[in-house]
Amino acid sequence: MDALLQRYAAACDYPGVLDEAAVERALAEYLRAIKAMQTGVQRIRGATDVINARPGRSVARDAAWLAWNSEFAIRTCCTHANRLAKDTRGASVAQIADDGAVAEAARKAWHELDGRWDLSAFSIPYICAPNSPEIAKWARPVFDAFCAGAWLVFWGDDVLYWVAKPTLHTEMGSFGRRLHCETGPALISDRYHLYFIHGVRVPESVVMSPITLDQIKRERNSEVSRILIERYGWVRYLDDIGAVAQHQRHNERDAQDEAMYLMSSDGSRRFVVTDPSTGRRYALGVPREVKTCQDAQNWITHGLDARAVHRS
Amino acid sequence: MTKTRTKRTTSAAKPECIVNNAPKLLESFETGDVSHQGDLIIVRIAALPASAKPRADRQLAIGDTQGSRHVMTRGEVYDADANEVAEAILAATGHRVGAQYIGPVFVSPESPTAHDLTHPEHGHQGFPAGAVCAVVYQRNLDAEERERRVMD
Repeated sequence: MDALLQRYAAACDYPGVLDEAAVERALAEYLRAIKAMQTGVQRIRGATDVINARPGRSVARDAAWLAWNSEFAIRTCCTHANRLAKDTRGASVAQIADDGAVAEAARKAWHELDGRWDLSAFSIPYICAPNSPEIAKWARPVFDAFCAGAWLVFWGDDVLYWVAKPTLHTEMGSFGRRLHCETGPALISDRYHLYFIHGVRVPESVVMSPITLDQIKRERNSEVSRILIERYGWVRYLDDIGAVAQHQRHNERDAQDEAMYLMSSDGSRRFVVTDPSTGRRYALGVPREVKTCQDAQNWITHGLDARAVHRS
Repeated sequence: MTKTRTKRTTSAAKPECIVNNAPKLLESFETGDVSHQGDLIIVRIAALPASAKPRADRQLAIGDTQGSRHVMTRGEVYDADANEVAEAILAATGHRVGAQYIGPVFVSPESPTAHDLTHPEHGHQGFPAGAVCAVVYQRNLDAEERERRVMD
């Protein structure tokens, strides 16, 4: 078990080694184990029509799902996955998963069955139950493929496609490890590139193009909006939208700086608040009748803020 | 109906800071009390709503970003009828919350710890054993001044 864990931990340090021939041998063995001998194996090196099309339900894929979905495999994974993730060092699957991109693929693999399976999750049953012949016959080759450099597999009608592990750009801190790159994609793979700023997944344009006011205005996710404003520049942003400070205070109870701004262009209002835990600033829209920072806090929290006894 | 409590601070007194990012087990968290974990609002309600059904997903806020990763690692998590939860919050706090801002309900485990409700960037929290808590999402206005949930 310890040796398997060490191999798994090393394999979680993406991209790590890539032995293309070993991956294909392992996946072929996997297909034989689930009696899908007619299915071929092929590496995907870029976005293709094959991958963009949602795969149909092939016999091989159904067989794979039956093996994976066995009660024992699921129970084993649920019981051990957390401990396993804690035991693995550095870029453990849970750590990476916490950062978004890999988690997204893994979640789809586990729950949506849309043809994309993340081998970091798919190989866990073997580590947890290496001596179970029923599990090991299909899970060991999957584990071997993961250790040899495979990241995702896609089920085609008669081909099992695989994607090599991505290159990740990350940053370390008290928050752990998270995906981050301000000059390009933070996750670079044969299949797709994903962009992250301090662990927050953002559209490509946020990183690769100049930020515009219209882009900030249209963004509906407050975390992405915050990043857009930060990259645009807070002072420049407030100037450019014609913001006039109406009320400012230091909120002693919540240990945060707050300000109410009136937008001279349209009369709307923004409540700019600094999160005491992260130091990040957010600009939240509030109704025109809201005049003070306390009014804004009350409105945003449905009046519940007055009853707060703790905040983190 | 649960009697709501009066606000504990007066306007004249300097409010005591309630921010603490160290993991904290709230030993006192009565019905109607509120705790914030980032933008997540946790409200203790009197009892588990009749409509509550256990749910497997322990993440309390929808989303893929790190900011949304408020996870109740222990205890039980439920989905419940949002209107019923809103009524329970009204009874506990005197404040009405729109159904669209109601999240899951959770019950704190029998042996609570300071690490039951986790988040990668905000302090972990724990609540008294058996406490029934409703999750409420903050709101704001979008660029067209339409009211919507704060999502991160």
